[in-house]
This record gives sequence, C-alpha cells and structure tokens, in this order.
Amino acid sequence: VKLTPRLTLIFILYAAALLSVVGVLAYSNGREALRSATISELSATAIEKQAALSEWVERKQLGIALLAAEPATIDSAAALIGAPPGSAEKQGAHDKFVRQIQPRVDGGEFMTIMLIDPETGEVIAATDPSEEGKFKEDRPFFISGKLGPYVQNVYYALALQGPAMTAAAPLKGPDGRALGVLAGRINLEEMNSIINRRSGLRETDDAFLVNTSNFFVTQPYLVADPAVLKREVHTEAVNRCLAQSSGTLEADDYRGIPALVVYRWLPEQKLCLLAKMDQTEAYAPARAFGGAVAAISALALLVAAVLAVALARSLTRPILALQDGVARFGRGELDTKLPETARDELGALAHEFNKMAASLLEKDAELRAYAGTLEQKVQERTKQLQESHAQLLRAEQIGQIGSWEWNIPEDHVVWSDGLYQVFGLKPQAFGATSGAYLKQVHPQDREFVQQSVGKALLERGTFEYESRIIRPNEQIRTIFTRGELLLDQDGEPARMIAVVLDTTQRQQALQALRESEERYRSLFENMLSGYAYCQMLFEDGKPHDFIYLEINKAFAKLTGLNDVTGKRVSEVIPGVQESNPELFQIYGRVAQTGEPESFETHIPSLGIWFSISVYSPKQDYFVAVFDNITERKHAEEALRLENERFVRFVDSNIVGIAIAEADGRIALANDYYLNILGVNRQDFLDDKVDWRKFTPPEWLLADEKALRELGERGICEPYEKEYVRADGTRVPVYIADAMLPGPEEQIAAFILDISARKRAEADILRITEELRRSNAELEQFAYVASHDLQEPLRMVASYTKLLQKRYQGRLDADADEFIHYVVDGATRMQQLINSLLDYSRVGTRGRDFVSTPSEKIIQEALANLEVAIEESGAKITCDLLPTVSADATQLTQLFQNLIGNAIRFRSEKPPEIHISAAHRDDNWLFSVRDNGIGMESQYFDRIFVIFQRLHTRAEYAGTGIGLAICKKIVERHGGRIWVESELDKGSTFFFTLPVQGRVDIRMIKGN
Amino acid sequence: MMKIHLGLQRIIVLILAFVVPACSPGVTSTPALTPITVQLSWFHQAEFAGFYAADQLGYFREEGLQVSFVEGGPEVDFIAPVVNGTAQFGVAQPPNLILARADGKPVRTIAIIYRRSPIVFFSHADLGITRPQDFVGKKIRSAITLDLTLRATMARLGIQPDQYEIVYLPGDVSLFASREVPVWVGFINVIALDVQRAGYEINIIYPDDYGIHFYGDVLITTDDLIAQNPDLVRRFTRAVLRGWTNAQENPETIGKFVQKYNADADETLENARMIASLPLVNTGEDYIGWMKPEVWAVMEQTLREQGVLSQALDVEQVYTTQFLEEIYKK
Repeated sequence: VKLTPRLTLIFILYAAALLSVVGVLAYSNGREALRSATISELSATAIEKQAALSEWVERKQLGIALLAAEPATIDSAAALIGAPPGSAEKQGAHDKFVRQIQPRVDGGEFMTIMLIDPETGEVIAATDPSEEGKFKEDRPFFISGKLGPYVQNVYYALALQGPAMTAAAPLKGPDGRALGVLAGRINLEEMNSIINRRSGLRETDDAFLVNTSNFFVTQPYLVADPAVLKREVHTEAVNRCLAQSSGTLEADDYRGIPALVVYRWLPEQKLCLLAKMDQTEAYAPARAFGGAVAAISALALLVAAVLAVALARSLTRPILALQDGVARFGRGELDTKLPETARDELGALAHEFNKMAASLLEKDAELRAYAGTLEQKVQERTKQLQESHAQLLRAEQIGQIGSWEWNIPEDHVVWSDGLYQVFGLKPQAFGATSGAYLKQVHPQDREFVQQSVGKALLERGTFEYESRIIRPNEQIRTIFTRGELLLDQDGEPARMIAVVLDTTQRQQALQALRESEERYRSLFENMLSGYAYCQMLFEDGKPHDFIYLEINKAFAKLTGLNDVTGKRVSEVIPGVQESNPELFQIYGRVAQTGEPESFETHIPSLGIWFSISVYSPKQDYFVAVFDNITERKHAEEALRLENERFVRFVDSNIVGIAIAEADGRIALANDYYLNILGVNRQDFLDDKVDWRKFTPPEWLLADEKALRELGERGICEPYEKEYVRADGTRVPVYIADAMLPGPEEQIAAFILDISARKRAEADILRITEELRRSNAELEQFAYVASHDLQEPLRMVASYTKLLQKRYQGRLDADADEFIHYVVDGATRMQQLINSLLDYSRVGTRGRDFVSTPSEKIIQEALANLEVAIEESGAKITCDLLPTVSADATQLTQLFQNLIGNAIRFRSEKPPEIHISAAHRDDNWLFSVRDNGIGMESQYFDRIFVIFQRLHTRAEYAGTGIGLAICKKIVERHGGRIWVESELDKGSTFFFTLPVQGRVDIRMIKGN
Repeated sequence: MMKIHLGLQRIIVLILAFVVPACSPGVTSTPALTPITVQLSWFHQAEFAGFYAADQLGYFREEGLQVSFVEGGPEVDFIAPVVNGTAQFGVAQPPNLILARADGKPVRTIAIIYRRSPIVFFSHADLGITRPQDFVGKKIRSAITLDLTLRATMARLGIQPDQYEIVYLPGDVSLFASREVPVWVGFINVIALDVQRAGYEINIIYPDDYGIHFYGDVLITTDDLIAQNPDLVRRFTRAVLRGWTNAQENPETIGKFVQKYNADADETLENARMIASLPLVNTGEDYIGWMKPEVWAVMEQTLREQGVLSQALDVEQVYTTQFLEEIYKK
C-alpha cells in the first residue's frame, strides 16, 4: 500500500512542477504584452477623441463668431433693435432677422440661435419662439459672450432636463456699439457621434464623456437607454478622473464588469473622457494561450503518471503477492497457496510455506467433524424445553391468569409464573407460605379471604372469591380466585389448588359504566332543555294523540305543566289537536319513519314559542327535546319591526338619506338622494357612485370642514353646498351628517334638495328689488307731481284771492258765492298738495338716524303744540322714555301728529294724554293714550291711508294725511304702527322702534 | 514574517473589540447617542432622501446622534419648531427663511440641499401656455412654500398681483386633470412628476429662465445651537451630506428608505422622484451642500424688489458657510 503510491507521487510531482513553471511564465508574458497593446490602443483612441473634440468646439466658436460678424446679420439685428416697441415695423424686423439666421439652424450647425439684449439678458429674437422673452442674464455664455466669442462647456440645462452646450459671440453695430449677444445652442448629437466613433474591430471598446456632476454627457455604446444621460456614474475611473488626473486602471466599468480603462481629464472642457474595453475581450488571446498550455501540461502529466504507476508496480507486485498470501493464511484461510512463479529467493520461500500449510489443513478437518455432532444434540434438547415453558407462560400472560398450590401440612405454597405477574412480584419476593400470601391481600379483604378459604377447609369443598391485592408498587388490583381442596387417603386436607384471574379491567369497566349512567341521568334531570319521551297513538293510521312516558324537571319548568307522566296530551293541553295539528303530523312522521326533525312552533294555549328537536328511539315512540324561545321570538319580531321602520324611514323619500364612508363609498341611499345626484339605482348597485366626485372643487372646503366637525362632535351643523351631476347641472342642497356607531365609521347624511327654495329666494329678491324700485319711483313721482303742481296752483289761488278782494260785493250774490268756492277749493288744494309733499318727503328727504333721547323729542313736539295744548287745557303725562336711534325731525313730527290728533279728537272732557314706552322683543313699544272720542274697530286700518277721513271737514279740520305720514315715518324706522280704540272711550296709538345699543335697566324694571 | 503576523492579529482583535459591541443587535440603548429632532417641510417623501440614507446607513449613529423626523404639510409652519427648540434642525425654503430672519427669528442656513430650485410652473400642453405673461387673467394654483417664487417671477416681468388669481389647492393629480385651475406651481420632482406619470402632456416653465435664481430646500438651525454646540452642528451636517452623497450615487435605493418612514409610499414613484432631483442636488459645481453668498444676496434683493421684504436685510445673518468649509477642508 505504501510503496507504489509513494513512488508514483514522486514521479508525478516532479513532472508537474516542471510543467507549471514553464506554463505560468509563458502565460504572464503573453498577458502583459496584451495589456500594453490594449492600453496603447485605448490611449490612442482617447487622444484622437480629445483632439477631435477640441477641433469641433473651436469650429462651433468660429461658426457663431462668423455669423455675428456677417453684415446681413448686423443690419437686420440693428433694424430690429431700432424699431419702436410693439410696432408692426418691429414685428417685420423681427421676422426678417429670424429668416436671416434660420439657415444655420436648418443646416444643422446649431439647434437654436438667439439674439440676447446685452443689458437685460432678455432673448429678443430666436429661431425657437419659446426662447423669446426668457432671460439669460446669469448664464456664463451670455456674460463671457458679451466680451468675445465663447463656448460654454457642457452644462446641465434645467429646461432641457439634460446636457447642453452653447456658443456665443458679441454682435456689434457698425459704430462698435454692442447690439446684443448672439448665442447658438450646439447639437450634442455631433459630439456624441465623435465620441462614439468606433473602429469596429473590437466588441466591448467604448468611449464616453462624463461631466463634473458625474453625469454621462455622451451615450455610452454599451447602454441603449437614453435615460442614462440623466443618471450619475460613480466608477473608480470616473472618480479618479474627476479628481482632475489621467491614467489607466483595471477596474469594474459602469455595468460592473471588469474592464481596462484609460481616463483623461480634459481641463479645457472640464470633462472626463473615458475609453475602456472589457478585460474578457482584451485578454481573450492570453486566455486562449493559457488554455492551450494548461491542456498540453495536463496531457503530459497524465502520460508521466501512467509511466510512474507502471514502473512502481513492476517493483512491488511479487512482494505484495507473498504478503497477501501470508495474511490470508493468518486469518484462517488454510487452503491458501502462495505463487511459486519466481525463481529467486522469493520462490523458495513460497514453496516451503505451501508444504507446511497443507499438513495443517488436514488435521483441522478431522477435529471439526467430531465436535459438530455433539453440539447438535445438546442444542435440540434445550430448544424443546424452552418452547414448552414459553408456551405456558404466554398462555398465562394472555389470560392474566395464575395458579397456586398449597401443601397444607407443610404450609408451603407453589406459585405459577403467571401468578407472580398478576401480583406484580419477582419469584424470590414471595415467602411461599399462606401467611405470606395474605400479606399481599388488601387489609380490608384479608378477613374475608381467610373466611372463604377456612370455610372450604371445614366443609371440604370448593371456594371462590373476589378480592383486592396490593402490588409492591402500591397499585391495587382486583382478582378472582377459584379453588378446590384435595384430601389424602385418610380424608384429611392435603393440598389446596386455586386458579387466579386478574379482573381489575373488568371491574374498572363496570365502574365506568355505572358512572356514565349516573352522569347521563344527572344531565337528563339538570339540562335546561325540556325532555319528553312519549308514545304516539294512531287512529286509522293517522297520528291522533300521544302519552307522556317520561319527562325531566325542565319540562315542567318550561311548559308550566305538572304531573303529566302517563297522561295524554289531549288531556294535559286541551284543544292542542285543533290549535297545533302540525305537532301531531311531525311527531307521527318521526315516530313512524325514525328520521329526526327540528322545528319551531307556537302553542297558543300556553302562550309559548318552542324550538323542538324530535327523534324516535323505536317504532311508534318519540323523544322531544325542546327550548322555550318566546323571548328570542319577541326580540326577532321587535328587530323586524325596527328594520321595517328604518326602511320606511329611508324610503319615505321626504329627504335624501345616504349612509356613506369617508373614502367615497355609499353603503345605502334612497331614491331622493340618487335623484339629487342624477344617478340611477343600477349604477349605484354596481358600486359606480362615489359621492365625492359629485362635489365641485369650490365646495370641497365645506365638505372638509364638515368631516372635521364630524370627527370632533359626531355630528355636523347643517350646511348648504352644491352637487354637480354628470350632465353638468348643479343642485343646491342643504346637508347634515351624523357619525354612525361601528368600526366602519360610516356617516349618515340627510340631504334636502333646496333648488325650489333657492329659486323662491331668488324670486323674492327679484320682486323685492322691483318693489323697492317701483316704490322709489312712486315717491319720486309724488314729490315731483306735488312740487310742480304747486306753482300753477299758487297762481290760481293768488288771482282768485285778488278777484275776491277787488270784486266782492260788486258782482251779484251768486258770483260772490262762486268766488268763495274757488278760493276755498284752491286753498284746500294747496293744503292737500303741501300734505302730499310732506308725505313724499318722509321717504326722500329723510335724515340719518342718530341716537336721541325720546324726552327731548317729546318736549320739542309739545313746544310746537303749545297753543293747542293751552286752548284745550290738555293734561299730558309721560313715563320714563328710552333713547332711540332715529331721524329726530321725523320722530318729532310723529309725536306731534299723534298728540295733536289726541287733542283735536277730544270729547267734552278736558283731554288727558299719556305717553309711555316698554321693551318688547328687541323693540321699544311706544303708546300714546287719550280719553277722546275713540272710534269703531272697522276704521282701525283706514285711518292710516292717505287722505282718508272719518269726519267731515266741518266737524274736524285737517287734510287726512297726518296718520299716513306717521305710518310712513314708523315704517322708515323699521317699526309698525296700529291703534286700539272704542267709540267714546278714547284711543291708544302704539308704534314700535328697534332697540339700539344697551337697554337702560330702569326701563325693564319699569315694566 | 512572524512579527507582522502577530501585529495583524492584535489589530484585528482591537477592531473586533470596538466594532462588535456597537453592531451587536442585543445592545439597544447606547447612552452616548444624542437625540436630535429634524422638522421636515413636507410629508415623508424622496425630497428628504439624504436624511433617510444617513439614518438608515448609520451615518448619524457614527456621529453619535439618534435622529427622529417630524413631518411637515401644507399648513405646517416648519420654521417655528426650530425657533422654539422642539426641533434642532429643519428643512426650509429660502424666501420663508429670509422673511423669518427679517422678523427677528434667530435661524440660519448651514447647508443647501437643492442648489437649483425645484419649483416650476406647468399647464396642460394643449392650453398653449408657454410663458408667465400667459398667466394674466388666469387662476394659478399655489401653496405657502411656492407663493414667493410665483410672485417674484410675476413681479420681475412687471405683472401686477391683481392681474392673476392665486388659488390654494392640494397637490392632487385629479384637481389638475379637472382643468378648473389652468396654471399650477409645484415641485418638478413631486406634483409635476406625478402629473406626467399619470400621462398628461404638460408645458413646464422654469422661473430660472425669467431671472429668478433661488435655492430650493435648505438645512437650517438656530444661532444659539451654532454658538453653544458647533461640534454637534458639524457632526449632524457631515452625516446629512454623506447621506445625500450616497443617495445621489444610489438613487434606486431611496424608495425602500422612504417606506421606512411612510409605509404607504410607492417605491418606484419615490425612486423616480429621487432620479428627477439628481441635477438639483449636484450641479457639477463645488460640492454637495455648498452655497454662494452672491445667490443669497440676489434672493434678498429679489424679495425686496417685489415688496415682500419691506426693509433691506443683511444677508450674512441668513447663512453661515462655517460648517461646509470645515467639512470640505478635510
């Protein structure tokens, strides 16, 4: 085992070492050469790109500078700048300038060209109209472009959302004045194509530019998605390059794949130029070469190994054969023969060994034959004995049986193996006497066992008993013993033989049965459900009556029926056949078919609802188990009623009702609500209706406020909003919400369509407005009419008076009378017109309301009435009066008219007038009470109508306008006026004025 | 050879001794961590990607900080919590910050997050609205954070406030779709992106094209904290800038981070928001977070010209470059 591998290993190791040194040297030389070549290639590419890029940028700079220097450009720009702003000329010059520069864009040299105001930076004109009006005042190309031609290196243009590059040059007029800055945005596709230009000889070579924001400026060849231009790149090479250095590197590229990278920092452009190639491709030839070297080496190694094994084998094979033979002999293979092929010392050794082995083999065979027969016999006998004993033991074990035999004279007991097992004993743990046996018996059973055995001894008979024993592990077992007494030749007791059976399990089973029965009996008696075991009686094959055979306690408790056992149901519940025929049908069916059934029924005579399960233990008999479910039935009924009420409540459609959730779902809605939204019920049932979508944006805030209020208080104040239907029409609604209990946080909403009310409100507003205008017109008319009528009338009155003065008594009597009538009529008409003017002035010439104490106003009025008061001897009294907000002049007139009337319409008694005021419902209620002639109630309204009089002018002077003016004044102050009076018993005039400010506490007490 | 080997072993043991307890998940309360609250200017979304990255990648913890975030919203005053100390740091819009400072609130910017403003105007493409002059006579949707940019742009073009009507609406795609309000102001990487992803063709107008060069989101704290605990401010700022650098380099990881703070966030949408904001954070100039005093001066001047700011304010009160300089010196 040792020699062959050792020799082989030495040969192979030597060969392997030689081959690997040669192989590694060859591979690394090749790889290094490839690396240098690739780096040279990439560097050449980078230098070429850098040069091309610089040249391209210079060309662009020159391009914009040339364009800015062209006389045509300068002329059109000057025309544009010189034109007055906003003029058609300006527009024309603008269009001309754009046409002038447009070819440069069409030719692809620039993407956009623009003319920028040198002062403000505003774009005045551009080939891309969307650039016009923008400001470039802070852009480097503008700031530097003002001074001379300039190219702003690649930068991120916010509006383009990507890289951009712009060339700019100053545009100067013939006088050298700066006209503007001409800027052209460069097409980066050109730069892209310069950088992307590839030889096509390689697969994974790539060149690209990265700016200082780590953004790709040109599309890398190996990434197709242009979105890469909006992403940052943070490879090792990019990081080193952006640290403003150049070099080469073996590192992962932007795809995370190992690559060879040449990076160059381009200080002029502030860009990083990278050229790279995947290492797999660069080193592919080296790998191929390495593979070949490895394959050749492996082959050479294999040949060397085969040779090494063969050589080692030829040296060690004969020695190993001898060693193997001796070893086999030593293990007992005595017929082993060693090969005697070799003619050397090894051959002689083998020959002698073979001779010795042959004689040993012979002796060994004889001995074996003799020993074989002897052993066989012993084995057979032993086996028979074992089997017999085992059978007995197995029988006893299976039957849990044992037996004992008592030699009475010697008091020696012999136990079978099974008995030891029954008693849980080992054979030596038993004393083998009757006393020792008794010790195993349960103390409470010992006396009884002794008596049973003693009796058999005395009566010379058999015995059997059941007793308990205690096993050494204190387990109690029950055993059944049956025995017999055997007598000797003299008839004296000689031996007693008994068989013992372990009956513990049977006893336990019996006990369990007894307990089970007790349990069920207790369940039967204590269960809350009623139980009745009955026999069904049939008449003409139809169930007719039944007899209660057995019932439990709950039966009586649930039904209220006592002592029913043995009685018929028709006797116990009279009339039940008529009231509950189904009871008999079901019971009869179950009693006959044996199929159990359950049902609920109401027994009117008991006034109870039952839930009953019936089954049949045997033909014609049945058992009914039942519960009183009256309460549940009542609850169900109440619930049903509640539900019906709710449905009626919702479906009454007097108001829109919906139950909704904050996410827009509507759980329930009535027709009224759906009509408001203009959706049909099918769409609602298909869950297509989201309440939030019906609220126009301007009402969202109102909804939000309501939801917040809901969250805080559980309900929200009703508010007005609008819904917009799918067809665009709007519905004004009045809405209130309430939070419903429950985890869904549903909201009950009550919605009233107030379109009609809104329309009515609008109508009222409109009518009120019309009325107001018409009133104003009327007032104006009255004023104008009365004012303009005065002038001619004054002439009529003056000249008739003159006529009267000159010709009174100079014409005949008729003429005098006629003139008198004319004068009187004209005077009255003057009075009427003055009154009318006064009346109309209440509305048109009123003054602003100021806070005025009422006392002061009344004093004024009384002063004006001084003469009348004196003449009539009137007595005027006042209560405490408030300060009011009023037109003082008009209020004076009001009191003056009322007090004046009270004096004028006095009876024979001297007038007594009392003025008082009280606080009533935010108003002051004034009253002026007199003891004058009074009036009948039918005139109460008429007296306030203009020019209405109750008396002739002969009886009481006046034009009939006083109270009409009073009414107008009070109404102008926002109050009301009326009278209470009885003929010959005086009158009281009431009017109200709104309370202004705080109420004097004395006024309230005064009432 | 042997000596070096032993040395290495010792180093490894030392490293394990320090690193293992800190990483062990069983250790929940590390007493050394300082609790920090950051008030955000809007709801949790990729707008705050760098903060989430710093939190999720343990940058805050490495600086000894335990950071929690408070969401903003349309009605949240995001500067007040920083002033009253409920939050130590906050994200704000420069115009609001300048006005707060003018109002005597001692807050200042310590780093810029969006160095280009994300605020744009947009409208349905078929309406043909291509320049702010087209807004005249129209309703414009806006919000508190957007108002000042809108007003500044209009004022710059000489359009009076009574020539257009501002409407405050939530940033909801369906409201845009309803066309009730034709012109919208919003973040290019938020509502404008949502609208485009919902399939609407829109015209975008950039305030930057009309002379309004504002910074977007900025990181703020109080003068007191800067004076009393500059080290804490430096550590927090450093972790935030690291977070933003990582977010810029790995935008596709942001959606998952956002979901840690807002379980309802849509991962693809948040990733798209992050990708859209890359050029706002990294302009290719200077460093992430860097600021230039002249931009502050222009912002102050713009606000003054349009009458939002009634008196000139010394803009040096509004920012400090102290921490950016310290962090990037190393």
